[in-house]
Amino acid sequence: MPRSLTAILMFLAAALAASAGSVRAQPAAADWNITQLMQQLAAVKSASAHFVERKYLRLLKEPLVDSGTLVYRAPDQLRKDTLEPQIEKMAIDGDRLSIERDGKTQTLQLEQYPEIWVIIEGIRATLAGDLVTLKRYYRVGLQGAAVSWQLSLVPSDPKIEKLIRSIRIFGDGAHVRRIVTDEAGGDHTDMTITEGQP
Amino acid sequence: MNRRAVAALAVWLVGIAASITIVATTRFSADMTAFLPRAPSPAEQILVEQMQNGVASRLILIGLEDAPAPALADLSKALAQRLRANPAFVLVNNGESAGIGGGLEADYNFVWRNRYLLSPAVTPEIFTAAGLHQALLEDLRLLGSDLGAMIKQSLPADPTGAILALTDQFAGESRPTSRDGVWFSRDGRRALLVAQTRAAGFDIAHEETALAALNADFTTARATIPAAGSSRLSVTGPAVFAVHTKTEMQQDITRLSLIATVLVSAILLFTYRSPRILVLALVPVASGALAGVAAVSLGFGFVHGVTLGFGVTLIGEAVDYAIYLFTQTAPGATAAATLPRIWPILRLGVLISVCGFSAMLFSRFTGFAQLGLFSITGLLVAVAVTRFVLPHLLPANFATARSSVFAPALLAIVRRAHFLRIPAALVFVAAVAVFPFHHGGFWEDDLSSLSPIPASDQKLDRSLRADIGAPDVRYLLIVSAPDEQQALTSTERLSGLLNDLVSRHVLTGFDAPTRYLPSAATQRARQAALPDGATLRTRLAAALEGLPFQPDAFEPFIADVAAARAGPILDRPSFEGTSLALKLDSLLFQRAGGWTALLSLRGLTDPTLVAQEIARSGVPNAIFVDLKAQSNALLEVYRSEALMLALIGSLVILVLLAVSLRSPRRVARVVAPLVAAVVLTTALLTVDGGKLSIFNLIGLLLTVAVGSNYCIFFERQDWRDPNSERMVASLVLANICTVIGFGILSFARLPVLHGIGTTVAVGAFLSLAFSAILTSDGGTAAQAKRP
Repeated sequence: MPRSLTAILMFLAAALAASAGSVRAQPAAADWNITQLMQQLAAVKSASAHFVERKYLRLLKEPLVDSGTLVYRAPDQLRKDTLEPQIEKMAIDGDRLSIERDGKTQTLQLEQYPEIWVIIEGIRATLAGDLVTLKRYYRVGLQGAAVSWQLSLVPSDPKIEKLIRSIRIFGDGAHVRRIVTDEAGGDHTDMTITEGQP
Repeated sequence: MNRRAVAALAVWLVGIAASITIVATTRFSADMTAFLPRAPSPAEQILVEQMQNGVASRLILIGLEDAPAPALADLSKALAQRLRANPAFVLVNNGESAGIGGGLEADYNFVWRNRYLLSPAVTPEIFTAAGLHQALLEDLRLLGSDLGAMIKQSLPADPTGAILALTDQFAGESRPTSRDGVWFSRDGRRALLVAQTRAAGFDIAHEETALAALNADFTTARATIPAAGSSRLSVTGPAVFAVHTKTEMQQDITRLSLIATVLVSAILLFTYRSPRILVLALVPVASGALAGVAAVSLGFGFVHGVTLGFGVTLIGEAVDYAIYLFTQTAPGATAAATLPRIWPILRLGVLISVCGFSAMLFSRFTGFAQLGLFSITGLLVAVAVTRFVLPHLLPANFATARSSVFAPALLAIVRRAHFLRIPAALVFVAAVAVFPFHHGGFWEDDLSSLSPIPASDQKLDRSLRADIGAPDVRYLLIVSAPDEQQALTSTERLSGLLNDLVSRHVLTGFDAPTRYLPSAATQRARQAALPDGATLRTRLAAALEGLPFQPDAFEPFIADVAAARAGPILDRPSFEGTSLALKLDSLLFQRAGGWTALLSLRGLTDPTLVAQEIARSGVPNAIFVDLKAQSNALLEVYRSEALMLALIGSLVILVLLAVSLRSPRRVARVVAPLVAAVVLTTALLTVDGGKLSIFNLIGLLLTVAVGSNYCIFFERQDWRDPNSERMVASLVLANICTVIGFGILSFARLPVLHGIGTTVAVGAFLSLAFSAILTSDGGTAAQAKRP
């Protein structure tokens, strides 16, 4: 159902943003701002990293933890391979999202789900350093400095804001270190990212 | 005027008056199913009924294009709002989640609310402590995966995954894409709506009103959205086709009969230079046409639009008799004196034509039978009026001096026509020789070629259907039962079988009414599988042992199970307000004598195996239908019928000739030009890969029926007779008028009229030409003897 698919993409958004983080940053200039952050991110053409994801759900007494690898290739290919506790492979190629689990693959056409499309476009815009597109879908806030910044994305479409309150991306230079996704219901996901070849 | 004249005129006038009375109260129909066979199989009968008044026949698919997507989305919403307020429409769906018509959201909510009655994943085992523990373990696994988001929202109310089992079922269904909250084609260029009209598809008058209202609502809605100013509306669906066909038919009939009348009148006026003669020549035509329509009305209870269209040919044909009479009456002679001379030939000609048209009476197409009856009555009345009435209306000293102006030239041509025998023979041999080399099949195999719906409309229909996710169904299971519950029970048995076949990869999926409305027995069994509140609490507590879920996480589940257990079971009215109602009505409906369920099957790899399994299942009254094979078989039946009718008709004509001419040689002289004309016409129709349709076949029969008239005149003609010139002139004039009548019909947009018109126009002309070439040697012989 579209509603729950929007939620799934929230996780995905986190994964995508995370994979942007494994290229060395250029030294920060004194008048560092969002334009420069975007330029730095745009310079990333491919990246891979390890991740550990903690899901805090109201339904559960304790968080669910999973880990694996992330791979990004400019402009629109992304993979999230979960290795623990169960193997699962998620990939986005252009406008197709596929999830492979228990030997079965589910494929979704992203364009059939406009709300999700918005999130994907937002994330792609972040990775591509395309501030114009990013601002079309999100209210973008930036705090901190080049060595330690926090990008906060709040959906400007009320329908999407009903599902996702915000996506916060923490990083230094062109590295994304941590992504926190806050859902409207109080559930949140916290993903930490360690750069390097998987 | 003598007494016989008075009697003839009186009979004629009474007949005309009676015909007018009948025609005035006649019901006219444009229903193209008249061109489906009269006695189809039970399966076909159901499909035809559905085409005429089933839910599918009431659906109008609407596309909005040629504007930016956001503007089209706004337009879709505005149009839907107007249509929902319009009493001509009972349901309007554009994918909007809110609104009276409902949309995906309304459907989803309905399925969610009733999941414990609808879902196959509701069994006693699942609701035991062990079953619940197993389900919760699986839930935990899912929550940890990237698919976790898919179940997170529904989990507290549905830990056993009743809804997942249902959404899995629907997963194979293609749904339209959504953009800006409404349905769009996948390329985003066309906004889509589906409307169901209150009137049935065959109710053309009401459908016409509904379509007009739709157009008006579109114009008004567009005016409120400036950005959508350039947008365009396209509509399709059975009702749209019916209305378009009717409109086209009316336009064609009016236009073509007008043109035929003007052309034939112009030629008569030019030939006879007398408005009075023109009017008199048209008297048999008008009388015949009127009597023909009246006869069809009496015989069938209604007159089909196509029959009226066919009336155009009568203008060209029935005028022949008056032409023979007028032209062959030499100055100084009277029409009354001409008649005995030409009457035997005229009578034979009419008899032959009637025989030809009679074959059509036996066609299983109501449409063809009507054409036959119309032409037979029309021709008989026309010739009778020419014979018994017309002479009394002519001036006493009537003679057509004019006809001899061209006559000597025409006669000269005819007398030299035999020089063309060798070229004609070569052409004939060439025509016969090319048949074996015809590429791509000789017969028209595409049933849609017989459809009155233009190819462009069929294309639009396919594209809109594909966009909306309602592709053409090829394989169907039809289940008949005395009542609704038995139909549902049988469907459930078949569904079990089909699920098996799906898991064996024999088919990819299927749609059945029981997916929306399970039988009452099944729904009660599911209710019975649900434990009472206290039992469920105890079992759930046991099941949660050792799992990380919050102890109070599943309160919504306990409440929903209690509600489902105590609530009413679903019946057809429960679905009001959802688009599932529409789906259900198209798959389950009442007919005379019981209920019918339709199951549509997708992605069959082995249709034969499916058919065998169905037969072996022992479910009573379940029929497996391959619509494509069915329509191919249907075409085969139509074609062999047409071929059979053409052959029998020709044979009867041959017998008639043999009896009246009493000489094999004379019969051969009449038949030879006809054979040549038919062969050459066929060759011309199929040249360059053209294919013969059943309409062409019927046309060839009529070529024999009509063309033979010219051959008999030629065969009978004594070329020493000074009347030869007038005879030739009358034949040429009559032939021109006939070719005009049928030739104009070839401009009709309906394939049936176009096919017959083209064939007979070419065939009738060739009949005359070959008669002149093959039969006129007597003329030269006579000429030679003269000084």
